[in-house]
Amino acid sequence: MVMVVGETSMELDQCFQMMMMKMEGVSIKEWKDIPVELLMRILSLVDDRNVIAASGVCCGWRDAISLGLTRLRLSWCNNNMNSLVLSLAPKFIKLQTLILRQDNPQLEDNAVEAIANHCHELQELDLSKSLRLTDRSLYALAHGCPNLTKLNLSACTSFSDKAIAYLTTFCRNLKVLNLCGCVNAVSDYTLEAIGNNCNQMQSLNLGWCEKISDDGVMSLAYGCPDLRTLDLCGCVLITDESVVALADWCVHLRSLGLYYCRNITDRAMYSLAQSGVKNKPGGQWKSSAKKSKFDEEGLRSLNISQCTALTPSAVQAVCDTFPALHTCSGRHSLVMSGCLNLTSVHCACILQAHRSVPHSAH
Amino acid sequence: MGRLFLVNLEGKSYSCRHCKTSIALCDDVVSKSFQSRHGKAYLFSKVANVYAGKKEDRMMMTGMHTVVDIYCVKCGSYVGWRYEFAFEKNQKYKEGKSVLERYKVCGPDGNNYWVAAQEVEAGESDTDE
Repeated sequence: MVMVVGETSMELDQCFQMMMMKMEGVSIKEWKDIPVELLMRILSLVDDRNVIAASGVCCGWRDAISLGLTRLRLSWCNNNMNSLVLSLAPKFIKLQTLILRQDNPQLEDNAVEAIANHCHELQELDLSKSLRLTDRSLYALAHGCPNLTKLNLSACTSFSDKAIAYLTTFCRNLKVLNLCGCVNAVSDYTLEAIGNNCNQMQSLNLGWCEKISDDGVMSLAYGCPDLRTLDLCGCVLITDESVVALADWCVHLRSLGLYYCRNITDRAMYSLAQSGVKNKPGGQWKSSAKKSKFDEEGLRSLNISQCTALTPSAVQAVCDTFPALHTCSGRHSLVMSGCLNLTSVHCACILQAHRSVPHSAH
Repeated sequence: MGRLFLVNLEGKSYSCRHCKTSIALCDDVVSKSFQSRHGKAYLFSKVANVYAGKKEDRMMMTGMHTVVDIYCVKCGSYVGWRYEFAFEKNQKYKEGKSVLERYKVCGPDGNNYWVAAQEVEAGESDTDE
């Protein structure tokens, strides 16, 4: 593996000699003989382009990398990502994480079909901004990668809701699904499918999917009790019914985004507050360890920007129920941008600051 | 109200002239032939990072409309208006769309629009193509 010239080459050889001396009993004569684990350890420190180059060095390294490579990112590719994926998919069959987010859309259905045909152990796949993909890719992924747990399809506007629903019937282990911006692909039909099939769902991003309504979110809440993060940014048809259903069914909810959901009223806020109270562990004899665990339960982040129908008393009730919601700078997690009538809502920290220091905290 | 929530726009976008918050994508321009009191204005199908003021009825060159003025969420400066209701049938297409004054936003390359010395003193008006 002579990729450097002159003095650096000598240094490499010296390093190699020193390494050989420390590894007794193993017959290593050249770079091509180093153990697979060591090779993968070294490659984990270099960027993906060099990993791909390394896989073409010799048969030994090709086989080692094919069996050992679990993580690959190709977003640096500006022109030829499609042909690159077509050539790499049959080699790297043990991939578990594959990041194919593109700046300009290059990926096409045949590349995703190649991935689905070879990389059956894939757990995390990022196909965001792949504007040229069609439903064919989703059908291929459904059949080829049933172990998917994290899937990012944001900004892929060419999918349809039937295809995503089909995918969910096969990929039942999905925990993290990003469908931000997939306007045509996300309808109530899709959400029902997710609620029926992907019961382990924890994080769902439905930003800007403006077709969805309360029926979809309610079936989602019913079917996915483990839901922790839900982003409904820009889903303008959502009303209080959705939030009430989420408050009732999704007890582990940590983060809720309702930006621009202008139909949201105080009723939604009070239902969230009541669910927070309902799920508090009862009894006064809880040890302090359990008390700190409770502080991690409940909403940590709530975005109600532009929900101008809300009044301060309702939002303050939510802020008081969930100690992890903050309006103080530095830990800001209750975001109310554009709600000019909610300026009086504060978390408890700000009141403490007021008490201790005689000047306004803001 | 605390920390701002800003929507990140990817791609070529128009931004607020003062605080550089991106407000609308170039792809969302519907018409470039609108006029406001400061000169040119563009009609957008969708804008982000703005909040609305009070509803007002305004007489424009094309008829009576109900509009709300829109302001940048970050710096609060006025950037244009949004049509809520159009009284005339052939103006209905404007409902829900927003007009951004070219003077109040900087273009996708960062270039600004400078108003000519002699400003149009008439009330806000808008024309169609």
